[in-house]
Amino acid sequence: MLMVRRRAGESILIGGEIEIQVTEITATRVTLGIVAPREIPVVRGEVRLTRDQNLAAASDNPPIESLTQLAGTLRLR
Amino acid sequence: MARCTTRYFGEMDYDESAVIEFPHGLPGFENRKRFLALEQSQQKPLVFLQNLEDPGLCFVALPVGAVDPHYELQMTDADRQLAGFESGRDIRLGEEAIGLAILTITETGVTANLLAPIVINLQNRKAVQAIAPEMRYSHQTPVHPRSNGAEPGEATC
Repeated sequence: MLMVRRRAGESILIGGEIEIQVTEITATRVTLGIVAPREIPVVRGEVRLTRDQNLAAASDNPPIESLTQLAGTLRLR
Repeated sequence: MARCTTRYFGEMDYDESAVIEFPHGLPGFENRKRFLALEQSQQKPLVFLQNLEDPGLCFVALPVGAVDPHYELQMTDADRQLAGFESGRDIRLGEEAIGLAILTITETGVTANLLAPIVINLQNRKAVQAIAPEMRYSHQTPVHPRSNGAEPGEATC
């Protein structure tokens, strides 16, 4: 992974069309401004986490008997 | 009444007014927009999110409060708009909305996605998978059923 140190007000360029500007830095968070062509989706990393988790959840397909058992143990909590 | 085929419960009749609409689908399932939330007495408190476009697609979920009784819902303005909630106002789960955490069930255990709960607006039946603006909760929150639990049917409450 390429590591780059930047200060507020500075930016990096990716290819010819994507620019990431560091607009504000506080003790716990950084605000980024992103310039990218309309056809390139810009989303937070959590979107991919959730997408991958949804795909895993949809493919596990436990049998209904084990879900009935899981439900029973949840009711006992 | 309409009829659908479900992943777990064979064919079922449903009323159009029960359909939950995800205007943008879910991440990974952008074209899956119409779901039913099914509760069956034998599998309570589980909720089955059965897709109507693909009978094989059914998410198993739990109310967020059943995973974490102190759960605090956070939604971005974009997600609020998508589901028809006013911005800036607290959303009362259990009254005007339902929050469900999708479960991932594997041989090693059960986890719930509390980072991105399904929020259903009960006023208009619109829903969104609301990825929280901050990562205060995990997409793989462990769910701990009691491991010495009873056989199916023995639970009394």
